[in-house]
Amino acid sequence: MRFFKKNFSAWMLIIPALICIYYVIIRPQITGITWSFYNMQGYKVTTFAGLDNYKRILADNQFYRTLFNTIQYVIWSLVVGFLLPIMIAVMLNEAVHMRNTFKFLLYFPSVLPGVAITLLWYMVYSPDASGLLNIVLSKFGFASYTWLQDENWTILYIILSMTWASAGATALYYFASLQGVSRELYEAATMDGAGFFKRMWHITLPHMSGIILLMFVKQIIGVFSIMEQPMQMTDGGPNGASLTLGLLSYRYGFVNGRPQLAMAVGVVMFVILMVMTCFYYALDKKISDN
Amino acid sequence: MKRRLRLTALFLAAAMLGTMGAGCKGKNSDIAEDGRVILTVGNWPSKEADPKGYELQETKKEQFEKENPDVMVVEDEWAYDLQTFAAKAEGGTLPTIYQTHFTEAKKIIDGGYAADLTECAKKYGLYSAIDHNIVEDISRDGKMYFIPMSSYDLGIMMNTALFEEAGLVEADGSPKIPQTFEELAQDAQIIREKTGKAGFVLPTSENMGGWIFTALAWNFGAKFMEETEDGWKSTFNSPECVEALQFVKDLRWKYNALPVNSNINAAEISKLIGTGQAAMSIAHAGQADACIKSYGMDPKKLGFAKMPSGPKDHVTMKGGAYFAIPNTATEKQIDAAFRWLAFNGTKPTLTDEEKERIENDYKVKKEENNGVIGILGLSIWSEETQQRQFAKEMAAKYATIDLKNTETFNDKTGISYQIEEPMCAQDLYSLLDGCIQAVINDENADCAALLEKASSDFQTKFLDYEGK
Repeated sequence: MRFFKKNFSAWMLIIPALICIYYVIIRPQITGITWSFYNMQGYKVTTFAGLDNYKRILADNQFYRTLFNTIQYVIWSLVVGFLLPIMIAVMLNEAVHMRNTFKFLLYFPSVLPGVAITLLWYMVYSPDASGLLNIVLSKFGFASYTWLQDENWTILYIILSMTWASAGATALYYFASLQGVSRELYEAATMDGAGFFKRMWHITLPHMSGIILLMFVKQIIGVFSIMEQPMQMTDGGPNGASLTLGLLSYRYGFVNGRPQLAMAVGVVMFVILMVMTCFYYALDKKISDN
Repeated sequence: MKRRLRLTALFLAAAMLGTMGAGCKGKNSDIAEDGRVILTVGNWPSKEADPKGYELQETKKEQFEKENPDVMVVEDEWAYDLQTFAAKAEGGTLPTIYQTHFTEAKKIIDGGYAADLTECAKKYGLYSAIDHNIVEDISRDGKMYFIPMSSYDLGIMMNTALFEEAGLVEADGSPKIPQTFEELAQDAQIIREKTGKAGFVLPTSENMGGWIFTALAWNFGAKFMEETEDGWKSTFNSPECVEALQFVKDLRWKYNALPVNSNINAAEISKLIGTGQAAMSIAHAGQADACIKSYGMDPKKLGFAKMPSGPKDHVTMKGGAYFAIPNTATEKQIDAAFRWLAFNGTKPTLTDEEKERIENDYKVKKEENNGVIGILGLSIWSEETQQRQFAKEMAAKYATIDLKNTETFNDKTGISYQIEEPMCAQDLYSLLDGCIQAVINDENADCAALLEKASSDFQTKFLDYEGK
């Protein structure tokens, strides 16, 4: 109480924000976790179900396939989309002319609305002769390919479109970090006879290691909760090949009218992401301490 | 200084809390301060997005309130959607009257969110004038819970230009209508061979594929579920359903009649037919409107035929949209809602003025080429009602479609109409979407194995939990 009185003005300013955080962030999460342990009629909680909802989703083969799909998204996003922004940032850093133009062009996809990007790539991947990629294939005498409908590769194609949209913006984070490296270091290294790769290995990468680690974990967390792109491009198909946990949760909640199962899937995602987030903060702390 | 800072902080806190509180209005009363019954009407057109519709609705409101001085109409732009419905229903903030889809009826009744409208429906003469089949669809235990707004039935939407190009025309020049699914497949193959375009297109995603497939499979004798003493049982791992899925697979691989794209939703269907990329699809009349309005198709090149018959049955799906009134509405509000609906035309009879207005709507629609006129969907009204007869008269008078091209569809005899599958329909459609995508993408897909798994999943994942 004394502590409260002592900092009365500060508390007065903080309390509305705390209330907002409680109602907008904490309460929905607690409600969601609670619902996952109940049977529901519409959005009305009826009876306590214990772990039934979890047993129900975990007994479903589709859940494991979807979890595996989601992990595939993460892996492909790291393979395709993790190194690319670093490479772009380094190239941008080395560029002497038209640097601002390149920066604008790289950032441009990030200002486009997400739906427009998805639609654009949907048309690029169109499986008939009108698809941009199929037009290119036909120019070289190849037959049309079904792209997003290929069960084995549809996740990769979705990741490619996402990388196109976000790599430029991510590259700018790395670029900003690179701007902090003293030019003198590069000049000294050059005078000592270090080539591009040696400079990269001994100066650039050590300097960027912190942000690279953070972006690595951030990317895993971000891609793990992916939902909109597969929903808009393939609706999770063909035959569930691109379904993600986020989209599965959405379907349970908003298409099939079973919020309790949506919440159970959400809680499983939450637990996985919490582990990753803890890892993220541990890394963040380590990097900050350094 | 410190005191001033404290006061400022207190003021800011109060202001912020006040702002937050303003967003948490309590439940409205059903009686206004001036004693009038409050009637909140959902689906109100947005002033910004639809100024013309808004003005029209405001004029109606003014006139209604003049004729019904005991009622105060309150506008509400909310339109039914899954994301917000349950929260609004639980919070008691649904409009007194709103529109909903046929597919949601069971959910709304089961949730206890719908008011019993039987007495008022009888009082205002709707109960006996509504088509008796529809009354059955919207009733539970003898109580009527909705007021039908519109209804539809599925048929075959056709681009007749592709039929002409493929030489599939009758002696009188009208397109050759497939009478059976076998004929449909053969015609679709001819269209592909002669024109290079898809002869048939089936939706495959967003649960649309499964939805259409159920109607198709009924004609092959498929039953998707049945109620037993032990609860609902999934039954579509049957030879009949396998035959229906094999038919879809054959359309792709044997007849080469389907487009290569296996991610097709309802909008895509209208696009493919409207732009002459596909010749036939199973659709409802609303999708035909989109072909004209969104893709500039000449209505004379559009056809709408009766669902072909299958090896075991001749049946199509019926459905529709309803007006719903929440269970929280008072008797006075329900009565006011019925008067509002009657004022807006939901009544079996028509005055001369109303006839004139309806005819004018047809005229404008024809002049602006704003959709198709001439396709007669299943009516909510009994055949003998003035509404039904006048609609037929107007459709014939202002038809934009060549009536020969929709003759079989407009004739509602010789086919039976079935409502959607009763339990977990969206879950079923979702599973069937997967089966359809699998057979369209994989020439070696095993129809029986796919359906066996889907049926088993449907049982264990969904039906087993019904009623628990």
